[in-house]
Amino acid sequence: MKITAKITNYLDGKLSGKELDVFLQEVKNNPELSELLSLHKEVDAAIKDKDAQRMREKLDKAYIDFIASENASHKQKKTATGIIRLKKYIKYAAVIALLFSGTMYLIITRNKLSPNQLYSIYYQPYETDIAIRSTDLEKSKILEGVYLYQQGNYNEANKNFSEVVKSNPNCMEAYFYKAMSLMELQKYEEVAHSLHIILENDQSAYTTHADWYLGLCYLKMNKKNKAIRIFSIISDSTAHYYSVKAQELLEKIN
Amino acid sequence: MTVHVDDSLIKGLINDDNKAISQIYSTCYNPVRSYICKNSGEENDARDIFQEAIMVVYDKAKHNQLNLTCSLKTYIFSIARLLWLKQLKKKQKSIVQLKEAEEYTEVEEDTIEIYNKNTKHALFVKHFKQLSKDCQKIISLFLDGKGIDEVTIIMNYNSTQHTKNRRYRCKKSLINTIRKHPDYKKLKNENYSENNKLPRW
Repeated sequence: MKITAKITNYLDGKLSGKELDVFLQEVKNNPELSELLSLHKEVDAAIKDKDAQRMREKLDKAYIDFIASENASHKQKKTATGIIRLKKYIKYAAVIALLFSGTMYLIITRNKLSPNQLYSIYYQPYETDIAIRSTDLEKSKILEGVYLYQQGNYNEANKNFSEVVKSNPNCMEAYFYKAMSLMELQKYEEVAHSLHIILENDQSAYTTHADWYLGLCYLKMNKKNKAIRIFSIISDSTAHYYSVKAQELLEKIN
Repeated sequence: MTVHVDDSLIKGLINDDNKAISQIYSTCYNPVRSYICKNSGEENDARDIFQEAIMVVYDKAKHNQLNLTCSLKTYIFSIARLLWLKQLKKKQKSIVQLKEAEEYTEVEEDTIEIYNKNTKHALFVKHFKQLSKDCQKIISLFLDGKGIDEVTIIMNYNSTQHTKNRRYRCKKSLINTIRKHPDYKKLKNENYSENNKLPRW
């Protein structure tokens, strides 16, 4: 510890006179000491550089957002192609539907489903394609949390994201993944709370998914009217990724 | 990207603007990812290399050393390309069949030096954050310029001697952990003298 004390005192500017001369001479004659002194200086500089640390955290978050938007846009394109194909078959289906319209009406009204039933049909855990290595876990609380979520460790993931939002209340990614973890833990009141925060922030890339999952959350909480309101808004917006699903779900709601 | 847009993105980067950072990802990430994945890399590699390229740009911009002679997109791609070639060389992967696609430019000689400094600093911070909360706090307080008496009060220690000893122990522990880490040894040994310059493809 003596060397550490000497180096620390030197870097603090607390060495002077003969003590300083002796130390500098030692550094000049001892390459290992010289290297150790450089390392101390570099480590201090790294710890003090809060800007760089903050930038890295922002870049981690920006990457997660970018992947999320990319996934949403890929799925929208797939849905659009599906819709075009569907329109062809609708022409033929319309003829058959006319013939069986009376019977079809009876079948549909008999097959209305409860909110709970609809939830179990339509709820799928949110899938994230973000590739995370175990060596990334120390880099960022968010990446660590996403990794835990991907591993199905929802309790720990929720703890991680809760810590993130405590120190950064504007981190929408953390609120979203917190909500997804809580969904798996079946803590629906807390899910709704987190998703509302996202929806109040119009700029978030997660708004689309937050709408849908909030609707499902209300179904599970048996708040049918609130669920219907949300799914109606989603289905009315043809550009919304979940528009078709929302329409389908509304037709089945009892 | 126009010069005007590039300037505002760089300004946004220096000012930690989330929208600017997001736009940089939207416009510049895919070419880097495409290049790396076509040349023996994976998504994780692309993610890391892109982040390191941005950190180089950020460092230069902060120190007023950024003089773009091409678009920001080309510049970022060129840095990422250089960093990836360096990685391939480290992994001793064959780069004979390199697939080039995007336009790139020669980057400044200090690019690798800045990258090395940044990655070393990231390693140091990673180890710092693995110290106990108390150790992190005591080291940070002194680096923020707080005096021994003030730190003793904040940390609720009994004496200034105890504060000093604690500080030295925490710092020594941090330095020893870093020195033993294989990544630090690798970074220390990297030397980019004339003999180690990457061949020109």
